[in-house]
Amino acid sequence: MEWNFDENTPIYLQIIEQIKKCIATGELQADEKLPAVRELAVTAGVNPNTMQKALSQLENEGYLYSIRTSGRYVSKQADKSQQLQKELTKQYADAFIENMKSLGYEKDEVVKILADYISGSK
Amino acid sequence: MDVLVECKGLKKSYGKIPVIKELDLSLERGRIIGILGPNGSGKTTLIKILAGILNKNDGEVTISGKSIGIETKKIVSYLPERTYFSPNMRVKDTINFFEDFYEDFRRDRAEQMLESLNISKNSKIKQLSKGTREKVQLVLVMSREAEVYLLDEPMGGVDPAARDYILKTILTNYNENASVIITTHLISDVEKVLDDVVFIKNGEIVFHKDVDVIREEKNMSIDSLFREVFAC
Amino acid sequence: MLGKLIKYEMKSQGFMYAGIYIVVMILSIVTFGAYKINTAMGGNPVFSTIYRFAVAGAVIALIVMFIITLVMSILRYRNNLLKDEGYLMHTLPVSAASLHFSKMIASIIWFAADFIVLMLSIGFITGDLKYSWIKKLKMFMSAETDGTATGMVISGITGTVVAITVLYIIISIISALSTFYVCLDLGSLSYSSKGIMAFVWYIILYFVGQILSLIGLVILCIIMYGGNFMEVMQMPQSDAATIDFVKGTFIMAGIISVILIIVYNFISIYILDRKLNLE
Repeated sequence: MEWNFDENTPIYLQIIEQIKKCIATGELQADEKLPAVRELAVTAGVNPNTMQKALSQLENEGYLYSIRTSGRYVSKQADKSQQLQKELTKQYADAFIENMKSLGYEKDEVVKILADYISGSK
Repeated sequence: MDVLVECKGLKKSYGKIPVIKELDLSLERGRIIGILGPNGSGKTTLIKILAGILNKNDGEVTISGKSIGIETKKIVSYLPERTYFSPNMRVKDTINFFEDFYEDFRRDRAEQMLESLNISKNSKIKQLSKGTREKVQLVLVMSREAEVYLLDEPMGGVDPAARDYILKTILTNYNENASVIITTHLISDVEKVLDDVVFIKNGEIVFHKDVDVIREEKNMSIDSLFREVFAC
Repeated sequence: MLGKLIKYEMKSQGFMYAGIYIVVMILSIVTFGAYKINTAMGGNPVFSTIYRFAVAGAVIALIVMFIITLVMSILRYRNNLLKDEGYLMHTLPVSAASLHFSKMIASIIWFAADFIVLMLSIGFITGDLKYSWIKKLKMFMSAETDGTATGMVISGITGTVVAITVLYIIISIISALSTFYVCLDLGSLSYSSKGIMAFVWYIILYFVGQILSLIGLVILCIIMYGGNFMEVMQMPQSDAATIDFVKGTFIMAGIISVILIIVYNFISIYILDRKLNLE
């Protein structure tokens, strides 16, 4: 897993987002065991309490489950991952549209630009 | 809420010049805390008082419920900004020294870290570069199972790769029973590993908050906030 | 903990002293060789001169040895407790008293070693490996000395003279160390000129010592001769009375030294414990 953090927003929220993304892309498989909190924190370069907070919230939201003596696992969540994909897709699309708007483009222009871009990159 | 370090009404002056004025601070166990402030703000003075090498003028300071003294020195591991070993000592002598005087020293941890840093145990302190000396001292300090780690500017004068190593060591050594207190100028390097941050200015605490709370409330990094608060 | 600290003192300075002792002994043995050759050559001026030079060399080495011991004791105290290394030493879970006394005791040990080397060296330098001078000294000290001039002067004193001399040397060394240490500690209280202040304090304490000696002398006179001691002392004294007075001054000097030693060490430890001011 590659971690990328922006220090201007809460780290724990970014951790949550990035883990969710890994689940959505399949990088983290259902029932896969997560490394220990401390190990994850070291790899990600973040505070262990922050990591713990993020993982707890993911557990509360149902993305992870924990078995007491062995650790945390990724939940089986076929429907969740679709929902996650929808969530992230909307997030990315929103961001794209916002950015294009700030460049001064109208919505219909954006569609054409996107189509050109896609056919151009084939 | 398990309070590990407590200061009440702490005051310290150098001669007639007050450096710390009526300082109240409460730090919990199991946290990594950054104490940030400009030069002369009193942060190094505070660290020295906690370490026991400087005496306060007034107020109360306790660590794990005990007053500063021999008992607190047993549970506090202090890394100052300077080389504090005799130049003629060899690295292996420093290990023996720590083992001799500190019951909580873990030799295997120290040796393993020195090996991964490629530092020979036979080198004399004076033969090592400044950066390497600092690494050796950090290794020794972090190889103790202390309750409080006081790291005074642990990353000044050290290259970026070494800074990463230092942060990684701090995270790897983390345990819920201990706290790490770091003073630094290099805030952007360090802020991801912090739990809480304490801003200190002119010998007084400006504020003391959880870092993610700050990011949420102000939508900026600790580094940016620092520049804002301490703008000249 | 005190033992551990002393152990580290010995370790850190051991090599240096070993080197000095080896040099001194080599010079002494060389002098011994020169002595033997000179004796064998019976009166030859060349060998006689060589012998004298060798003696001079060995004696200088011995003096230097003591000077180095004193200087290193002072430097070690300052560098280890009052400079950067102090950041390590004062965060050890040991008392300030332990830190202070570990330096004192280690220095005393080095001075004692110096004396042992001195004794050995004298044997070689004088060509007198049987140390017959000790026997002579013992005889000289005992009551059976003949009625020669020197015998008369000291006939009132027994072999305790040696003990007193040794005691006197020990007290002098401890007193000197205590004085230097407390000057360093007092000097360290200053923020900008620790070194200069240490010197200033030394001068101050020198005068303090002189004044106390004077007061002590007056007290001694009053004790021995009563309130009008000035008159009493103008009158001619018997030898025995003079000897008593001399004994008295020694005892008074000893008492003053001991008092100062105690006071200076208290001050040192107080400063290290409560007024530490490392840069």
